[in-house]
Amino acid sequence: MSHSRKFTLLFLALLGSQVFAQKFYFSLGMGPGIGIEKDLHQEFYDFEIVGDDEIRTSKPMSFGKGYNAHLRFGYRLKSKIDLALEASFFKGGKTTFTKDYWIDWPPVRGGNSSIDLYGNSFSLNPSITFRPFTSKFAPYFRIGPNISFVTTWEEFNSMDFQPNSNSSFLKRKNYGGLGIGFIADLGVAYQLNESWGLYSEIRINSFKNRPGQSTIIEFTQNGKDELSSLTTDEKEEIYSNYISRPSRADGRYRSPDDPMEFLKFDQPFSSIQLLIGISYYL
Amino acid sequence: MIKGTKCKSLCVAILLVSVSLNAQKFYSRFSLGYSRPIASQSIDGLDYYYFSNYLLGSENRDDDFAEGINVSFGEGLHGNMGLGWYWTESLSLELNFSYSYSRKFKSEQIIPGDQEIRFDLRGKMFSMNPAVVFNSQIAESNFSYYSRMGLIVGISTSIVQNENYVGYFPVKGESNVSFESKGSIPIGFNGALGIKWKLPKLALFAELDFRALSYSPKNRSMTSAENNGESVIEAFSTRQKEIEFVEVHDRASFALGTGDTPRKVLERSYSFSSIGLNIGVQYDLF
Repeated sequence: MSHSRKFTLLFLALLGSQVFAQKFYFSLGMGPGIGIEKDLHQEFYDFEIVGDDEIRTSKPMSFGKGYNAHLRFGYRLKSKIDLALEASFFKGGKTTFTKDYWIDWPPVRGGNSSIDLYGNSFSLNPSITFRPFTSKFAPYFRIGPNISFVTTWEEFNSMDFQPNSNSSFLKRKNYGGLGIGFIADLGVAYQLNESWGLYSEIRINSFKNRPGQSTIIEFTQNGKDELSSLTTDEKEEIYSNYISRPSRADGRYRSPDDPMEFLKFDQPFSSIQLLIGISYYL
Repeated sequence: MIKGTKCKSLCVAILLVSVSLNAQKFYSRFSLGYSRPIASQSIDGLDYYYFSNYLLGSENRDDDFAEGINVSFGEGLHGNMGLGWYWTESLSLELNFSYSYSRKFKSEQIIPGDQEIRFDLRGKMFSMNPAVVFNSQIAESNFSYYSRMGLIVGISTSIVQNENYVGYFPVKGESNVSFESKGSIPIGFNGALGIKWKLPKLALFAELDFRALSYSPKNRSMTSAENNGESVIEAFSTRQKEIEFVEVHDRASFALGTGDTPRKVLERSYSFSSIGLNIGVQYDLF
């Protein structure tokens, strides 16, 4: 090999090492979140029968209360701009509603239900990070789209008081939806040394989930498993933006062997999160 | 004498330098933009409101359909103006005011030969946006990029709703009813990423603007009602014209009918979230 070729290869190797040096980094973090952009979700509110009166209490909710854990892969495009791709998992906490229900005529209080709603999401967030300062303690701002794959659950615990004392439990799983929204982070990073750093950020995550389908996955009455007694149309639902030949204004019934089809609904999932983590610079 | 003159000149020079350093600390900015919706929602169903498209009972049923409509009142036009102050070369504080005017959302519900119902909705918001801005010059150029993060405080927000009925409901003929929902001060979050082209005394900018905001009105009032071209709003009672959105209500306050108190309905929220492109100018002031 000629000297000039060796020199060229050495130069390229050195250049490459400098280009790669501290250009890439990994971050691992976690933190709690509370729901924002809460809404009265479908027909979920507290309903109490008091004598012959009904009391309705609004309970706006967001599924976005819980805990976030994330892994982020970043590339320092310029000294003050990073590109990053983050994968995160959000485990949601439960929101509980209570509903009494009437029976008979004249109506009397026949029983009540406790309903728990909760959900988890797996998200991908490509983003751009802006760092105006290059000091050891450096604030930054990140913004980017949020693509989330969400599963939510509804658990109904019902107790009849009249005419007989009966109990039932039903659990429905909503899935197959895609939530598309946006994240904005305001954070501060502390460079420990050349390779390691710490960060803390406040994240606004704004999106709503729209399930594609749902299935009842558990149904018991008085402790006995009755899931197999449900027909397909009682057990499964699919959700669409457009329904042809509907049997009613918001949906379509085909047969006991087909899922019911309803218009899509949305689930509020926005949150504000406080995240801390550690970064490793390659 | 020479020393005194030199001293005076030096003092004047220092004063001028400090004035010019402090000069151009304030700036004003104006922009126009259009936003697309994020976190849009279906507002179909729930107590008093249905907002979807459907056609039921066509001659051969093949034309029947049901269609959902997604709404975020952040989708539409907006104008912004504000004042900024450079705390340091890289950090500035801004106070912006913006007016958002959403596009009109429409629904149509038809039962051929029986009833046609058409709704349209539009949201408007005048808001205040205090924010922190990070600025960074792109080396050896007149371009700089910036990011902004702050709050949105809705000073005045309303949702206007128009309803058109043709058929037998609520009365025979054609009826038009309008409502306006307002009250309460929504608070949300705003983030933006932009690029600025600095010219003498003025800069042009373009930015991607993200808003996370929902609005929960306190009341809804009927603003007009006509049947077959004649105003009939006086025929409606307060219970029929006014809705108060509350956290808790009993059966009597929720029931329809006549009465001289507003009907009470559980409060709910409407999305005003959006992502948009703004283009504007920034003037250095003093």
